[in-house]
Amino acid sequence: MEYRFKNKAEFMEKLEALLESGINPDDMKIVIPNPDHDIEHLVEHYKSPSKLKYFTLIGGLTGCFTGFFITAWTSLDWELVTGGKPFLSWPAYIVIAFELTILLGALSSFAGLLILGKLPQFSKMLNPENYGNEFVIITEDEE
Amino acid sequence: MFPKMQVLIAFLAGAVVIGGLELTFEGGSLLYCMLFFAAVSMGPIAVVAGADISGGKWIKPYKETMFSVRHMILFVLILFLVFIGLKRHELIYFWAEEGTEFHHTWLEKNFYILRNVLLLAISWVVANVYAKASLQEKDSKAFWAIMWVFSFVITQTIIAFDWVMSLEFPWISTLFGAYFFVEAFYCGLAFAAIYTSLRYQHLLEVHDEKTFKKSMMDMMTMFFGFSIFWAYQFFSQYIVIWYGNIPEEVSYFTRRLDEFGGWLYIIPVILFVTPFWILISRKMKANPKVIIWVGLLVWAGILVERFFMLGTHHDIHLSPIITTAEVLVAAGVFFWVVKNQDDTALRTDP
Amino acid sequence: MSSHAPNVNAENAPERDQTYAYNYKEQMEQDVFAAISKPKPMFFVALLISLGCVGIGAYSWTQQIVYGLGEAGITNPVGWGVYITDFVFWVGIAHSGTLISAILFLFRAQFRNRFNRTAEAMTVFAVLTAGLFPLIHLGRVWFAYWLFPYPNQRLLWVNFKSPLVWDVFAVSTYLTVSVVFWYIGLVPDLAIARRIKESKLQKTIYGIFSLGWTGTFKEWQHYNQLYKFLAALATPLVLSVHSVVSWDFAMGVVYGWHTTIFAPYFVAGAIFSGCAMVITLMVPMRKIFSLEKYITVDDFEKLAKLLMLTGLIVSYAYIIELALAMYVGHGNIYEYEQFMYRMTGDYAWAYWIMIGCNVISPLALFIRGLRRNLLFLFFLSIPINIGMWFERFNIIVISLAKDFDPYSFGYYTPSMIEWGITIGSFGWFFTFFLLFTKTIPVIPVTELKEEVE
Repeated sequence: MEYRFKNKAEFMEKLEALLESGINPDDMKIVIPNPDHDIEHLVEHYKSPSKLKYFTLIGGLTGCFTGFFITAWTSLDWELVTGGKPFLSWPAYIVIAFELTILLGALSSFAGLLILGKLPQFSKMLNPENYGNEFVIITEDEE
Repeated sequence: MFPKMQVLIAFLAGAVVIGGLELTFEGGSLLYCMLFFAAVSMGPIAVVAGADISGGKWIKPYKETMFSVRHMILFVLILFLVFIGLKRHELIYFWAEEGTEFHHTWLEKNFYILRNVLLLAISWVVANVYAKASLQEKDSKAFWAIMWVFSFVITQTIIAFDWVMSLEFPWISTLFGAYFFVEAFYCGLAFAAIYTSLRYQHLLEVHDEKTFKKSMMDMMTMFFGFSIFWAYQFFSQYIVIWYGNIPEEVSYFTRRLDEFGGWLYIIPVILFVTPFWILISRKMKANPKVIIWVGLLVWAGILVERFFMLGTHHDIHLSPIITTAEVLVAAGVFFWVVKNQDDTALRTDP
Repeated sequence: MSSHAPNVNAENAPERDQTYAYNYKEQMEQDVFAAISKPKPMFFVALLISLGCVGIGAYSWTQQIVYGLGEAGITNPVGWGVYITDFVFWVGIAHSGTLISAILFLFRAQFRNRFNRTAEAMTVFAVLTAGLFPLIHLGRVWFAYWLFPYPNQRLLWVNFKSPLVWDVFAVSTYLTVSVVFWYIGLVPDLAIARRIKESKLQKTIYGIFSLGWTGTFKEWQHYNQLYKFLAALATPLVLSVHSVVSWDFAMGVVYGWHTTIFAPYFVAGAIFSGCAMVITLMVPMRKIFSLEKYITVDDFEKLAKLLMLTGLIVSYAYIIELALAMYVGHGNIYEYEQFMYRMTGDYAWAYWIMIGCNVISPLALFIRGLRRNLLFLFFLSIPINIGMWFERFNIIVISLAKDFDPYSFGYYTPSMIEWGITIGSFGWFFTFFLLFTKTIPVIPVTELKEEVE
């Protein structure tokens, strides 16, 4: 079954009815033209929120660790006094660790979208499904 | 607009008690006490001003209480007058000593008194006018918010330079003023956190529950953001001085390290690491039982930090008992002011 | 609310029927995509001028590579001149893009949706421009890769204690994260472009870049989460990048450089110059592409307020720096003399241009009528850009021209090569920007759609 709406309110009504009737949101295909907090709120009542945050967290921590590790290790690998500072100059390494935290945190979050959202969809790059600005619900036919 | 009678009486009583305590010991206790209360009395209003200027609606449930601390500025002014009256400045500042050889245009006794009294008085007046404009949601509130920000920034900067930095002349740090007003702002957010949990049930009843929880979340997100911003400011100052390693400049840190050693590292732990890791979670931000401790922790952190700023100076002696007593008395006055200041009349005043 | 969403959310708007939002979205797609199709002749003229400037820059750089750094005016004692000034200038321009897209996103300031696409594009192109200057400044540019830590036969690592290496990390992280952030925002719009564009070739190209985006709920759910996290990561990043740039100077013990306020002061200055650049670019663009319906004067007023705020922070920093130099007086003669020299010495003209442009001129924004006058804003933004260029020039050049020992005092005059490369950098930036305006929706369609609902 395919339902198409031009109006958000009608769409939400139908969506809620369908969700109430016990259909798992994962078994439906819901297509919306733009992000919407009301819809997200409604569906997340029946479905767990995105797990993307774990990608960010792991990426960030890896970056932080790498930043401190690479700076400390290279300083000790070839000991060279520069600027009259100790070999392990933590205050200076904070900057590198911070930048790498952000870099890897951002990149792994991006990877998170690609993995969790199953993108890129190569088949749809050239033969896209277009729903325009309509709100669409497609359910598997049970009849 | 003016403080109520019982508030004024509390001010006088507080000033007399603190003055009496101060007489028993010659040192910097009063300066230390003022340094803390100057931050907590101005910070909350600055938070409101920030929201008023940027058009944030989340400040609404907090407005009245945040403004109620404004009379504490008057109390800080009274304490400053006690400070001058007891000639503490001549005791503490080498440039204000009787018969000093040191001559400086800015660091001059009378000019020092004049500008500090004036700035505190102006801040108090502007805070009052601004409170009125903002609580009545007048069109002029944005203008007075800006005026308040000006007086807040200037006063905190001068407090930083005059009360603390001048102790170590010719040591300078251009960030010091900004460091102070950011900390005051941080204190203001901590105040909001403490207030939220103390009056949580009441706030839920008075305001729409959903809107209030949203406001609270925004406020705590701000608080979380400022823990990072505080760390940024701290690091910005620290790394420049550490890296430059110029003897007369780095002495600010080395002298404190000599005296307190590793204890200094407690400051970034209290003011950054702990609030950051607690408030990063949405659940914690929404939990009134948790945020009160974070708020109090931040206040404690500021107290400890200002102790390290003052307590290590060779001209300043802080007696543990007298200092604690004075801070407690002032805290009592603070609590009394917040509890008794009722601005209902101000809000409905045509 | 009424001032944000164009027409639709206004309380006095005509009755909204069932399909109002739908029709509005369709209309907006058409308007925005009309703007990015079929370049007018003026476009090619502008593109040619920009490419001409790139040519001048390329010629100058080639000269410098062939004949050596002596072609530039930098020499002892002023070893950092126009190149580093340009570098800081362009990194600064980049900052408001991230501010508008990330920080204002976290603060839920809706007016950002008008500007964020262009501002982010500006960020990416400005960082691309800025990134050239450290390379240009190298004597042997072909060894630029030595800046990165990689295992090598010399058995040496880069010096992680050096702020210049921090800068390599900060600027490359910044470039990467801004590209990712910009691209993420673009994906749904590229999917719309794929649908609307008619030629087969365009459909294919937009199709590939849109990653096969369909707009299912699942995609949006992760997308929203990602956007929020990227905003949260980009916010501290934007603070750190210009701070690190400022530390290139502040870590040195040169008076006028070595001062603690530099990090926040540079960040505020960067946002100040960046907002000015957004205004410089957006005012004509809105006119040329007839986007008046979507970007209102109210939105520009908010940008003007941001300009005013950051201008005041910058002024605060100028005053504090100067005041403390006076305060310390003969307690630190070098600091004091440095600031006296700035105000009255050989480069006083540059100092007073900076004060006029950055401190005095933004004060006009206190007048509401001027804040809302787009022509005025446009003409104000240009002196601010100039003033911010001079700010960096003053900091870098004046401090080096007069340091501790009178024996090493000097005067620096930029050479034609340096000016040529500076012109080239503007051409490079505008070439990218012009191409952007014809290939990518200049305002974020999807985000504006969200507001209509």
